[in-house]
Formats: sequence, C-alpha cells, structure tokens
Amino acid sequence: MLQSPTSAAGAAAQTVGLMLADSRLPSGGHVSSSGLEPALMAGMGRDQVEEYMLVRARTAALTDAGAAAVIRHGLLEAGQNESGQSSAELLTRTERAWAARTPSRAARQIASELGRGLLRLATSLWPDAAILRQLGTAPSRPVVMGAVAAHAQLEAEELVRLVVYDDAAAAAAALLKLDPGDPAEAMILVLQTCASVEDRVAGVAALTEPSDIPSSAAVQMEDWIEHHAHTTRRLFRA
Amino acid sequence: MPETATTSPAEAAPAAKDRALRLGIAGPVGTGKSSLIASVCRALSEELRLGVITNDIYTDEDARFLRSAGVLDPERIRPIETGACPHTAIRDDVTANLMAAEDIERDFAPLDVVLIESGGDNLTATFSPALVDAQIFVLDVAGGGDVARKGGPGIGRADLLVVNKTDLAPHVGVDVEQMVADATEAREGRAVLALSRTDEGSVSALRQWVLTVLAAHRAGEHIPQDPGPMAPHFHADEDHPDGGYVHSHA
Repeated sequence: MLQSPTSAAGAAAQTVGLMLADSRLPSGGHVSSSGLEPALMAGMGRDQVEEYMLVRARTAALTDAGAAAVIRHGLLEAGQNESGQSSAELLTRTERAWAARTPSRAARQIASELGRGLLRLATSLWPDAAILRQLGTAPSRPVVMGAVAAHAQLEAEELVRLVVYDDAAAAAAALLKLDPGDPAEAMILVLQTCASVEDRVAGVAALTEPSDIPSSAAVQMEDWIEHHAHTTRRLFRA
Repeated sequence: MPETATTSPAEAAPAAKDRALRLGIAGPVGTGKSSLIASVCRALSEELRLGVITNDIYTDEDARFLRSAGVLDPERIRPIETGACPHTAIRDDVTANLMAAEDIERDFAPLDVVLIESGGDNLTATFSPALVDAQIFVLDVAGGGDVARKGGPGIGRADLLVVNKTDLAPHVGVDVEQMVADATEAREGRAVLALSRTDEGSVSALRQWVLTVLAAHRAGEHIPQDPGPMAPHFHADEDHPDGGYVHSHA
C-alpha cells in the first residue's frame, strides 16, 4: 500500500474538470442512470431513448447546471468580499430554488446522496478548502459541483458542459447495461445530447440569481423516478 | 433542506482502533453470508454492540431476512443498494458503504462491530481494506468439495475462510475434512473454520474468532490486509506440465 498522499492542491482546473467527468470517479455515482432505468421499466420504448436524453438535457440537466453555475458564481463573489453570511444565504436560496424545480422527492434524495458522496471525496482531496466547508452535510450534487468548480477555478461554461455531460454519460452507461447495443451508438447519443443544449451553455453559465435557474420540469420523468423508488428488481437507484 | 453544518466527514473520522471493528463478509451467492451474520449476532449481541450493513444488488432482501430473523434491533440493520456493480461498491468505489458505516456508527454510538455483507458475487470479489478492517470469505459444501482447491483472493487470503453448511455434507457427497485440508493448504495456514449453524461448537469457534480480531483491532495491533485482486497461481505449459512458475498479478 502506498503512503497516504497529502495534497491535491495545484491541479490544473481542466484536470479537475476531467476528473469530475470520469465515470470512474469514486464518489458513489454508479448507482444513477439519470432516470433512464425508471423510464425503461415504466415501459418507455428503446426507440425513445434518444428523445429521452434530449428532453432530459434541456430539463433536469440544465436545472442542475444552472444551480451549479449560480453556486460557483456566488461562492467566488463571497470569497472576494469575505462575506460568509451572504454565501450561507446563497447556498440556502439556491438549494431551495433547485428543489422547487425538482419536484420528485426521490430525485432530490438521490441527488443529495450523490452530493454527499462527491463532497466526501472533495473534502478528502482539498481538506483546507474553505469553500467546501460552507456546504451542509448532504448538499445536492449540483451544489457540490458548483462549489468544487469555484474552488478549482473551473470556468462557468466548462462547469455547465460538465454537468450536462455527466448526466448524459450516466444515462448512456446505464443503457449499455440495461439494453445493450452498439457501444459507439451510446457515445453518439452522449455527444448529440450535449450538442443539443450547446446554444444554452453561455446563458446558463452567466446565471447569478437562484430565481433564474431554468425551470422546465419534465413531469413524466419525475413521476417515473418517484415510482422507481418503490420498485424492486432494479439495477439503479434512479 | 440540508443543514449548513461546518464539520467535514474527513475531519470527523476517529482513528481506526477507536471506532467499531468493520468486519466484511464476502462469498459467492447462496453460501450463507446472511445466515452467518445472523449466527454472529445471536452469539454476540448480548455482550457486544453490533450494527449490520447489507449490500444487495436488486432489493433489500438480505436486510429483510436479517430483520425477520429477530437477532438484532431492525434499526441496526441497514441495506444499501449496489446497483449493477456489487464488487465496485466493496472494492473500487466504497463511498456508499463508508457513508453507511459512518452513519450507523454515529447513530448508535458507540458500536463494537459493524458487519458488512457484500452483495453475493463470485469467487474474485473481496473487500478493500479502505472499507473493512478484516474479512471473512464464505464457501459452502454444496458448492462442491473442489472449490477451496481452486482458490481465489478471498479463499487464499481473507482473514478467515468459512466452509459453511457442513451439516449438508453427507447429502452432497462432500468430505468436509478433505475440503478443510485443501483450504488450509491453499491458504498457507491461515484460519479455516468448518461451520454449521446447527453445530454449536462451530458457532462458538466463530464467536471466539470475532472476539480475538476485535481485541487485536482495539489494541491497534490488527492491520487490515487486502486479499488482492487475484491469488498467486501458476501457469502450466508444455515444458512445465505441473506448472512453470508461481506468480501473482500486481
């Protein structure tokens, strides 16, 4: 066993971004299919997966990305002004705004568990990061992504693409387990999904107010996730 | 809403010897991991404060089995879902299990032992030492007398190998003594226990083993070992029909 390494400081922002996008990231993320298993188990056809991913990107994924961008911006601002009070308020307001746009309790629950896993990893990587210490014990994943981006100096647009990519890649990886086909097709779906919201990236990245976080809910998707939480014989939590 | 506390999980973690012994139970599907945990709970719940975490692939069935067995307060038995990757959750990404262990240790502090049952996988699945302090690998006689000889990381180097369901041996044509002898040889002398829940002597030996490991853990003398991704093995070839060389994969 190797000696415990002591510091992750000094990694380039892009490298941190690559690490966060890596499905091998040890933060417990492998239990999520980005809602795809709930959809397939509810009877959505295999021929609708492409459409599903496109809808998912411009609804849930952009909501997550918007929340992450607002957190990133707010924490960076607060850091410059050294105003701890306002960053606590921003965290609360953003969590609430995100939760209001994520009506399924099951979806919020899994986002909170994934967020906790990611925060656990991040605080081990950067034990001295003041920004990470401001988060609660189980913040939702988008909030943690935003905070890590602020700490690692990731650009806002990179963060938005990262959140959208992460969500799509999880669905594609799940697809290869649930209904395997040509793996290359799954990767095409990922790139196509990301490209479909490219024209929204700059706008979402520029968000600074929790109330401006995109709010296009996908009600059917949320309902599937809610239902999935009460089923057995599932491979993914959501 | 999540609370805005300022403690980080890393900060809150006590030294290993000051927290509960985390004991992993691995082994192929159907060899009696849940049943072994029930036996440990029955034998030790009066003298030790126990918690159980189960890893299930599809359901919380193992947790439900253990709760219905009535061997422990149901609140002290927690299921986590490992999704499509039961071996990942106990080895390369132990996040969910670590969080569950920390939670149960905090909620029922102080605990003496947390038993972590792996999702039934195959002969190669073992726990990371980042998750458990010690691990038991469980085989059963019904799996065939030759399994122990075939080896694998868990069989070769888990802290304890249990050959379970010895009461079934006459019915499945397995020579328990031979199987234990094979296992002892494959393990180069590491501990092997022939167990049947109906054989009180064997359950008592299991109980004693857990207490011994716990004592070593508390004394800070127990060092978690990784059984490894593969056991040392040999490759036979034309020049060396009995095996050319023995090696292990890093």
